[in-house]
Amino acid sequence: MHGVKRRQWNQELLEQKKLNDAKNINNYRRLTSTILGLKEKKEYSLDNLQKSKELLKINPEFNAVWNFRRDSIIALKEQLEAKFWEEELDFVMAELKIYPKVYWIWGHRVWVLNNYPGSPVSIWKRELLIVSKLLELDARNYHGWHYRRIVISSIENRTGESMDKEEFEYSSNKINNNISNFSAWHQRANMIPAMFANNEIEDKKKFIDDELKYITNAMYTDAEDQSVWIYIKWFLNSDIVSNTYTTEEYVKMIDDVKQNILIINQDDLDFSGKENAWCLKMLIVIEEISKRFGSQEECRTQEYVKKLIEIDPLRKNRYLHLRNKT
Amino acid sequence: MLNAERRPSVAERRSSFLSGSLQNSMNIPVVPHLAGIEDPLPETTPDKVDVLIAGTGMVESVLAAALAWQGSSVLHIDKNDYYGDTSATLTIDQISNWVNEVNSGTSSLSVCYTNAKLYISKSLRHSNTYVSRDFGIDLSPKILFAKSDLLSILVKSRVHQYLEFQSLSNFHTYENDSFEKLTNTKQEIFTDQNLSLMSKRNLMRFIKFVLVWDEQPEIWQQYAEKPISDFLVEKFKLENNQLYELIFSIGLCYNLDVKTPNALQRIRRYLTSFDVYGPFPVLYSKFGGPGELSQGFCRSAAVAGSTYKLNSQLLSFNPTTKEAVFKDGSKIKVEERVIVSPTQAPLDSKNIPKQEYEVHRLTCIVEKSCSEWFGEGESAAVVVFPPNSLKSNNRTVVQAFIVGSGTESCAKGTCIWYLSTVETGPRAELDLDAALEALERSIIRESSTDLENENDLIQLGPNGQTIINSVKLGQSFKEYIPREKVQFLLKLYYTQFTSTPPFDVVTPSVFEFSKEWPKDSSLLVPGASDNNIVYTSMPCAEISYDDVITAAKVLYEKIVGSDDDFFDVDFEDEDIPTYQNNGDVQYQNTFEEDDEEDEARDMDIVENEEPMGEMEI
Amino acid sequence: MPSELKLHKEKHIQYIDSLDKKQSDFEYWLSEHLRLNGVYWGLTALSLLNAKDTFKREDVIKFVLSCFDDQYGGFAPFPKHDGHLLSTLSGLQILATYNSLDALTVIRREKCIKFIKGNQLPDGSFQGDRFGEVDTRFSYNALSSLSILGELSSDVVDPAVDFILKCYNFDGGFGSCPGAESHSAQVFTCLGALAIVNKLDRLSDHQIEEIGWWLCERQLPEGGLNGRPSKLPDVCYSWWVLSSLAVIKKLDWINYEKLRNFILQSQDEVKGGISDRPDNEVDVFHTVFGLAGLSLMGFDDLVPIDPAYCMPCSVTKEFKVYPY
Repeated sequence: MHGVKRRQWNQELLEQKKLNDAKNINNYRRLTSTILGLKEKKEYSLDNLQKSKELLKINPEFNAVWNFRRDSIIALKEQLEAKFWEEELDFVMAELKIYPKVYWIWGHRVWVLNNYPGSPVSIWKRELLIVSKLLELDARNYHGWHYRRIVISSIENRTGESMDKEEFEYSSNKINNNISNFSAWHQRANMIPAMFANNEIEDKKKFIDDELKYITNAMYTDAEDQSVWIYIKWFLNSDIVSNTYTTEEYVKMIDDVKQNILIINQDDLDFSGKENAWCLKMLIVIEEISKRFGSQEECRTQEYVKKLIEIDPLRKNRYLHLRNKT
Repeated sequence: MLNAERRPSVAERRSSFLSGSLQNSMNIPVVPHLAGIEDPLPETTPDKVDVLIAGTGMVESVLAAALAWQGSSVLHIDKNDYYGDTSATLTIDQISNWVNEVNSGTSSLSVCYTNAKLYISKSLRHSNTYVSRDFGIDLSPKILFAKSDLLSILVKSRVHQYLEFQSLSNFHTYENDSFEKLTNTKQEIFTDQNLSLMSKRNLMRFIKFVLVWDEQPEIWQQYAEKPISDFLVEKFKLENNQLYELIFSIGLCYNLDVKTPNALQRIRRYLTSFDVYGPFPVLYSKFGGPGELSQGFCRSAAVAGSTYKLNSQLLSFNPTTKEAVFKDGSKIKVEERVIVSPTQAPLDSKNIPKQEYEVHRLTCIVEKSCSEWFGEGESAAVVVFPPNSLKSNNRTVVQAFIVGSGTESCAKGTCIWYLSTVETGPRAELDLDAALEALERSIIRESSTDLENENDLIQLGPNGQTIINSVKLGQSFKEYIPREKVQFLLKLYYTQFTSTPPFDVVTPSVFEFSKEWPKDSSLLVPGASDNNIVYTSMPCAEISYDDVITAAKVLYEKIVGSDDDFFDVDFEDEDIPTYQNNGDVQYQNTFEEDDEEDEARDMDIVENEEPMGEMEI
Repeated sequence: MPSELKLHKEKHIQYIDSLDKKQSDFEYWLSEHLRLNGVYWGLTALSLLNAKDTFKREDVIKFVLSCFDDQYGGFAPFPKHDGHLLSTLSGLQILATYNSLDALTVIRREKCIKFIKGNQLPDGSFQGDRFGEVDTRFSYNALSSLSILGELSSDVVDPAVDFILKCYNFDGGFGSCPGAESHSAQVFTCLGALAIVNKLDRLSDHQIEEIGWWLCERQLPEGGLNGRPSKLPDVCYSWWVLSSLAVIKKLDWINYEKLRNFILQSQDEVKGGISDRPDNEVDVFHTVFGLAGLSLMGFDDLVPIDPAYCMPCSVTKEFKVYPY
């Protein structure tokens, strides 16, 4: 099981577990057969809605019961009081807090919000605050980020206004908290082209300048971190830069980045006697870009590859492949 | 003087704690029953016990609990009418009495403390605003690192459930007459606008290194006997102000000459503690520090069957008959060991280990909240005055632990300042005075209302550098001359002695006395009332609890023979083995703490790996 | 000594065999909703160990058929539960492994195809069932299921492929839907689906290089593979990452020996089974993916596995190759 430590069971513990399990199994099987029976007969009622809740509290992965619950809600829609929907959201949130990585619960929440009477923008905005809170607790939760994008697009659809800028700010915040948060870098790499495409940036050149400062800062802060380098690789190759900068400016930028990488690499070499693998990998990327601009500089990729084979042996065959390619 | 009353005990406060935790009915903490120490004291003591412990300070209390859970029978006494002894948290009245006793020269207390001077303001003495027990003054204030052996034991023994903890994230270094807040997390380094790119890199490299420093001897070995400052400058190219922060605030060292490995150990202690329970490295217990913790362990020991007696003083121990005699005339046979705090030594004792090291303390209660120094939602801070930062040209660090009323250790609108130094002789008092003056000036500047830019969090320094200053005390305020004065409700100086050298933990040799008894009777000192008694060590100068568990463990091993089962308690009733989740499903609660594996990977919290749920095909 | 690590085949067979006999464990009942998937994982693990007969063929087929959802079509994970693309693929995989797809009646076969195709949305994506959750996992489930049934057609495949390509990210990975972060397991579902429908040529050479790079960076110094940057290694990624690399013919871009050690260190040498990482509790999910990873690398004399289908090659070679 994911992250569950293997434990030694002695006889006493096993006996105790057996007793406990027997009780639980009984209760669980009774409840399961009741619900599945009701489901088969399509018996939808407020009472049965409550029963399905009890079962889901024990096993939130029981998709068929979530389905039964949704079918019940649809059937009972007319009878449900306004407060039902809030209670349903509370229930789902309580489950999410215990099981933040169960697909079915996230799925049910989206369904509830979509089926909430009127599905007004206010509940989606509230949802944005909630998911922000959840991402504070676990800043890389895959479901959380996915859900966040669903919420954002829902709000955008309802208001007709782009939230790219807010999301860009949000990514800055998350990265400032922890520059190893690749989920936030990913979001950033999606927001910037969107902002450019939708003309949401006044001074594009300044924006690119600032972004360059930002990533330079990041690479100096932690040159071991692949999250940062993956983003830099995207940025250096991206259309937004090539479309904003003149060729001259672009070439200069690439050279600046290269110089900084060389400084960092040399610094690592001085300190530990070893070059920095990510610096070398990026230098190869940079040579590829320079070549596109017809750079006359001597190509050193073969030299970098040779070093990489030595300092990053796990990926030796990729480097051999690069060596043969160039 | 005010009404002489003690402060509510851990147990008396517990009712409110329970009602709070019951809301979380999903997982009611199973705390051992609270039978024991607040019950009426037993009329009679048992005829014999395995171990007799005198003094209810931190080390003695941890030891008592460890022994009790291991199965030894323990009689734990204290000559005072309160728990805590050298670690006690005292009311104003109790402090007065304590000072009188220290100065009387008649009790063994005077071996351990001298030169106690107490000032109590009129407004405290004759006020209707305050009562004595509004205040809880720690005799040896301590902070608790989030990643430390004591905290592990607190959790493992469930003693933490008797206590309430608060976070402390503000550590200030006093430099150029101002307080700087530390830049020590990856986040702060990344976002700090003042640091040059190369400084960021150097600092980050050091912080990553120090987390695993002991695995990389090749980097520091040639500095093993050299001062940490040389190492940081030569190897990591760190700058002066970074040096000061790392050595004095993060490492809480006493001077720049501390040897490299020692300092690295201490710097790591802070950094590994960061983000264990939240974005702070340190915790402290509400209602008083060591006083609370020792009570907690005493309760735990009582639950495990130890007998407790306050107001009970050991008169003598006879190693031949194994008989201990008390002041009230009662006697008991002690099968294994008698463990005594130096403060509780019997009269005519001749074997108390030499307490050769001085710790000078100055404790003040001020009529100010001092919340300017605290982090958001917190009520305490640590301020460090590095060498040569004070008017007195201090050679050694002065450390100040600031405790506000949010800790329930003092009345609303007041604050306790605990200053200490390991400087010796008359210089010590000068240093403490100078540090006090600096604190006083700062708090007046900061709490004054007529400052411009009051709400600006970012100030410009004289050289144009920005000072992101959560305490709002930039150099720009340096010339500001305070008009008001801080009202002191209480000032208390004293010198404490200890056998533990500064910057060190207790060495087992302290406890080596008369190991060969009874085979070698020549080891007995004629006429001594304390032959074959093992003395515990006095609290050391260290501001953290770091030596407590070490000391308790050494003693435990001496009594039990090995420390393998030290607090090897399993509260099974709490831990019925059921899976919360099922066999094939890969969800888990990510909100739990990280395991160590993660911490080694990254200084920031790395959350547990994400399970793939039904990422099956 | 790492070099002395060995695969405890017999133990693993016993472990998988024991799974169905754990009815006194609460967890057994709590995992009902994954039972069909669990059977597929167990059966595939046994197949790789050349011990398919450990399960009783007739019993398993009977159980699979009892999971069919006659109301909505497709397989449910357990009798009386609801049909879902996830369990539908598992059901078909089990039947195909036993070479008994014909155990499905003509009517049910039609229902099943209709159920799968019916969950395709206008943008080419698939929802898992009628409640609307969209994910490239379901694209994979649908295309693999249809391929097993020999029922792929361009009206389904072409939009499905377009959608999958929209999930490609700048870093060289794929996400669960357009805009979602790259994740090793999603890379597998996307590349596996493209491989099954023979559309890998829709990726440029540059993209293939980038994908290979991103995937091989998943290997950590301890040998295990992770799912995303700055995450811990986990045995199940031995499959997600390796199969993806195999599909783009760059299997050897990671270090085999180190990965093997990591997988073998995650075995429970006493009761069998493999866990997510050393010293954790084992389960059938990590057991099959650990074994599948070892098989792809050609270690320990395991039965060869098809990286796109996650089934023995001997089974998948019988499938019709699309376009038909």
